[in-house]
Amino acid sequence: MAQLLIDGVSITADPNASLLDAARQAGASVPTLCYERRIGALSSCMICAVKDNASGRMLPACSTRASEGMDIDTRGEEVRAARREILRLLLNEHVGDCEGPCSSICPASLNIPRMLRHIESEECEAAARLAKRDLIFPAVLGRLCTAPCEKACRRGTYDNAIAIRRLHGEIAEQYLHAKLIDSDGVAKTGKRIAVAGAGVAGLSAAWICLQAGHACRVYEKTAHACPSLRRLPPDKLPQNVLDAEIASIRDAGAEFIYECEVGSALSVDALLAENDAVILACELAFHPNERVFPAQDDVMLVRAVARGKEAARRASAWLQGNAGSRPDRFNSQIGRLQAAETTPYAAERLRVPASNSADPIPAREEAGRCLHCDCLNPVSCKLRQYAEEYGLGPKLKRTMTRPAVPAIQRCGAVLFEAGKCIKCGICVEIVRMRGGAQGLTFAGRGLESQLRVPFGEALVRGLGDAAEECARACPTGALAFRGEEETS
Amino acid sequence: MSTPPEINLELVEQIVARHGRGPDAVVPILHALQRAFRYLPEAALKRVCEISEISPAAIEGVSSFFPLFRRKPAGDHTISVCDGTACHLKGAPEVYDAIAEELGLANGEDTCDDGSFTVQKVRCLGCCTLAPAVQIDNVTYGHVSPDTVPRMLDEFLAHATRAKDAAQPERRLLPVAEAEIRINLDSCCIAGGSEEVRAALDAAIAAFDLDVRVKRVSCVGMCHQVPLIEIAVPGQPQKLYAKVRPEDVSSIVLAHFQPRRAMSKVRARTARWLERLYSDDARDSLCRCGIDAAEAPVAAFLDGQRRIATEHYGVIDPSDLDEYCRSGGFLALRRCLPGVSGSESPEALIAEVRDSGLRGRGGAGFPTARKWQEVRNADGHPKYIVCNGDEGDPGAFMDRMILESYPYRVIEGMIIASIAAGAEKGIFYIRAEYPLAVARIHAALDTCAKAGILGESVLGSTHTFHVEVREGAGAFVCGEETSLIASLEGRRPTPSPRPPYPAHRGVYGCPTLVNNVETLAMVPWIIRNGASAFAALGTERSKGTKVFALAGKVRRGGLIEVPMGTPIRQIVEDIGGGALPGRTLKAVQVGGPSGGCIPISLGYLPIDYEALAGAGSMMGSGGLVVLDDTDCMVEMSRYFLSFTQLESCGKCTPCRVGTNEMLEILTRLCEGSGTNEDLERLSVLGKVMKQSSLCGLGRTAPNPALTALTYFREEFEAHVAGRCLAHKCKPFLTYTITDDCIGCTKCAQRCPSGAIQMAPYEVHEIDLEKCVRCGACYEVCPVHAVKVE
Repeated sequence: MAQLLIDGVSITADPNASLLDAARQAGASVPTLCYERRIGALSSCMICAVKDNASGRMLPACSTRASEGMDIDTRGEEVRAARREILRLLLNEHVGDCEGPCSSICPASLNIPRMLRHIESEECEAAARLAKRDLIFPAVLGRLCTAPCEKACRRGTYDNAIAIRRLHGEIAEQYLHAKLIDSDGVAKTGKRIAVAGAGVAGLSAAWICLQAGHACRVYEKTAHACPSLRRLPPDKLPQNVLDAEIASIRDAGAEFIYECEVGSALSVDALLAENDAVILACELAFHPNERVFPAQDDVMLVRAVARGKEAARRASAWLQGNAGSRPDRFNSQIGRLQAAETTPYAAERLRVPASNSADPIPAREEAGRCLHCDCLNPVSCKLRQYAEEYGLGPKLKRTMTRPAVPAIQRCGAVLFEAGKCIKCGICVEIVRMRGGAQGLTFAGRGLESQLRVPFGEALVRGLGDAAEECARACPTGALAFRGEEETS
Repeated sequence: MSTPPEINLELVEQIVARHGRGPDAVVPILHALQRAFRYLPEAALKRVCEISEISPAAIEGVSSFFPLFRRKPAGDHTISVCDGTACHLKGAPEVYDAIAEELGLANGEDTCDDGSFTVQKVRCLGCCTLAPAVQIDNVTYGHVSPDTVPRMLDEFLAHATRAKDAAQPERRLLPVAEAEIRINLDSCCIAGGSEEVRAALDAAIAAFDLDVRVKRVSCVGMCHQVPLIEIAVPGQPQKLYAKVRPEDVSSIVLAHFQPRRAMSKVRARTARWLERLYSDDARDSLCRCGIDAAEAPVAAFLDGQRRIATEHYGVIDPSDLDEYCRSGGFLALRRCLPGVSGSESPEALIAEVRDSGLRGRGGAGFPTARKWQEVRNADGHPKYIVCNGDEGDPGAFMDRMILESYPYRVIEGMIIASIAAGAEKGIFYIRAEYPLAVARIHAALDTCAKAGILGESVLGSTHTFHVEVREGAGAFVCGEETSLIASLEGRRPTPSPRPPYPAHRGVYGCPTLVNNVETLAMVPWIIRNGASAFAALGTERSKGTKVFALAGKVRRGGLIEVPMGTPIRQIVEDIGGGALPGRTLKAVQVGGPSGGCIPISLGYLPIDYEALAGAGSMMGSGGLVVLDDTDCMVEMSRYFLSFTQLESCGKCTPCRVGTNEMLEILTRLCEGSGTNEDLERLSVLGKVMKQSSLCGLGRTAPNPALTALTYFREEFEAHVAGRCLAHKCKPFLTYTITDDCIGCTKCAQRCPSGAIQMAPYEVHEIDLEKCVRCGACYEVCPVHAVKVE
């Protein structure tokens, strides 16, 4: 038994307990990547650094014995700074996208790869629901969006980008009148939010407010919602498509007050008197009251959607007592592929080769061309979780040249993406303990060291029947199951 | 390249049978396979897995870790260009490029089209004072320059053909005579030409029929003077001759010895020598080579030194057991034999070493007695002792020299340690780059076994001690105890967290004592002369002496042994003779890639563990590389980081990625695209690596860059501003020719990129577009008309 201090709390640890055990016993949370209880400490990631107050040294908590009289700091700023730098190093080495480049660039953050997988598996309603959830105007955008997603699409550097805009437009029009998202069941908050301006931004804000359970009234100075879109010729935007998507917002519970200009006919202060919050999606951009949230419209429609969503989220958060909005999720990005990387990157991900036909490819086939650049473990990946926890920001800049993009390897339902491997050694140990197959090892050394099956044999020979166990134990998305969608 | 021959699997089976089938045989088997096939054919590796307990994962993981092991076929001869610190400073990269060009290697290729040569960079050959050094198969060449590369290759090929045609003539055994001609034949001296001088000596002695024997002796350490011979005739003062050429030999010999045969009987070829004896040539060589041990520079070099690990330097024959015994060898051991009456107990031995204050000479300076005690107290059987001779610092070669010159001393120290710790198995772990050290240790172990010094009963006592030799394969991280042990067990040599310490769980899970070569070489002296004699030398916390490899920009480089606490400046100025002519000293790099650059302004610092650590450096294994005003501190930092980046095992994050990012930043700075943020980032990275790396390699890797940044920040800032203060980093340089040019055309002849048009008797011009900034014109210009800015 050893008596020691963890963050000033005195605890009695078992004779063989590590500092990690002791910290957990004291209720302190210490991050770990390479640690698995059944394997024991590997001490490769070094993220579990804690500070020994006596010597001032950082110690790996997983492999340091908790001994008598120790005084350990698990969460001080110096400790957090050390962990943050280690994470930064891991992310410098990391070659993988948390989200596809298409989703990352989409202002409204449509989860495009997942939508395409739904379309490919003929789960059309699920695809339409996803598009509606993220885009709010998926059919209108299907006709009018400038589609930055297609410019970012990595398939475009290989042959042609996926026709993302066409696909979400088509699928949305297929379900134009269906009630894809049922907001009736949402618990009402009793809060009231006024939205000034029934453009795309205002309506998007209204939609999000309604989904959050707030009552919502929209004030519009003209006689119609979305007056500027209404002026477009029908071949660019058919009336019924626009009407249907506006109707979906009314159906969700929005109340429309037309020909009432906020700022002249009705002052913002008057709105504030009657409402808990006001969202300004009109010419009035700014108001000093803290309950007023701006959502500027934008000629780029998808950006207008994003602004509306963001304003509504912030208003909603404020009403719930959170000062800021939910921060964006951390998103590691590969960035642009080098010419030499394109072919190996795409080759392993190709399921449908490019077509030379001039006719549009059927939706399902087109969706099947997706390279699935997004991570298979966007939720369970500990590296991503810690990056967020340690405040590395949604778009961390690499401070080192990105290593080359390696090809994906397959082993049945398990995929291995070497670029996401943090070289923790857990899978090597699992395979060794199982004792079957050809085995796995790290080959080479330093930054070049990588997981390899001896004599360059296939991953199936290396992982053998330990594949599933390894994928479950992998702390990142390096070893992951194909076809399992992780949703938060 | 010719297609590789069919792999003889029978040979593979013989190799496995010879080295054993256990998992720990993997490195010896890989060495043997590489010797047999010159690379590791996959078919052979697969066969090894089939017939042994070595798993495919182990053989793949281990063989890919060590750069000495090749997985693709190699040329007939291997050229190893040393890129150790001293060689790097003195132009090894240019030599490598010249060889690559001479062999017509395309970018990234390492073997020439006709399959005759494979070229590789190694760190280090341990011939730092002969920098730059190149080894072709077993022949080492010193002071190589890009110019002499073609000649070196021709000479090697001629030598190789000769060697094939005529088997080496057997050396005539000379009757033991009283007079001796002493010559050192350690690896670096051989590279300096000692083998040729030895052949000339043998020939001269045979020709003149002299009653004198040529004796191979231990290293004097005066590497700057090799080949060095000493004539010792009873009753006469000993005479030293330095930088001897084979053609000088006969005149030197005849100056001391009378030919026994009548002149008329002398064979024709000696007539020529005799003729020259009375010519100016001969007098010249006598004057040129003869140096007096009392002469100022030699005295300065030798006087400040104190010999413990290198006791009897330059006198005893490394492989002569009798002579070692005559000069006090194994006396210490005889005092502590268990079961012999009057012997000291192991506890008393440990106490003696504790009182002496001896600390590990491998770098970290852990008290030796404490390690011994830990192993003695540990439960487990058998106990092992490992002599760590995996000297990886690319600027240090004292372990090699000690192993080559004093094999019995290390063995004696090891046996004494084994008695103290209660170990009965010993392992020498020696770098494979040191073939002579491996051979001499092997030979000395055999001799000891025959003499009853090793084996079931050491010198008739109850102590059993068996020793084997294992070769490393080129991994700096194996200097780390836990990595070394992993390597001995046949695992990838990545470090493991401590505890458990090797003293409790080491080789094969048994208690293991790991001591450095130099540490063990100190032990017999301590036992013979007493702890207090040792503790009388040195400083408060660093006792005794330390062997250093003094190299770089200093007049007298070599291997020196000085008392701890000797001021750095005294070593550099007095022993080393100070800066090269016309240059000023800038810094001393102590401790290689784990150490740091200490500015000469801190030259008053006493050299000991604490003072060096306090200055941000560390003792390391004891490389002392002197830098002068022509050396760029940013470039030096980049060099050391490129070393540690290559040597990082890749296990822990801070070291694996941190070394790489630091190297990128330093490379950017050297290339002129560094920023002030880069300097900040260097400090941040250095801090996290020092704090959080798993082993000493990563924890000390930032030292060279951090010390340079501390003491020479202005050089880093100058690089950011687009200047290299030392005129070393090529991207910042502009070469121009001034009106002083006399039109000799030498620069145009030397220019490798055709940037200078030949214009006899006119002022030449450099085409800056074509200029590759190699500095060849600057070097060659006889009137200093080439200007660098």
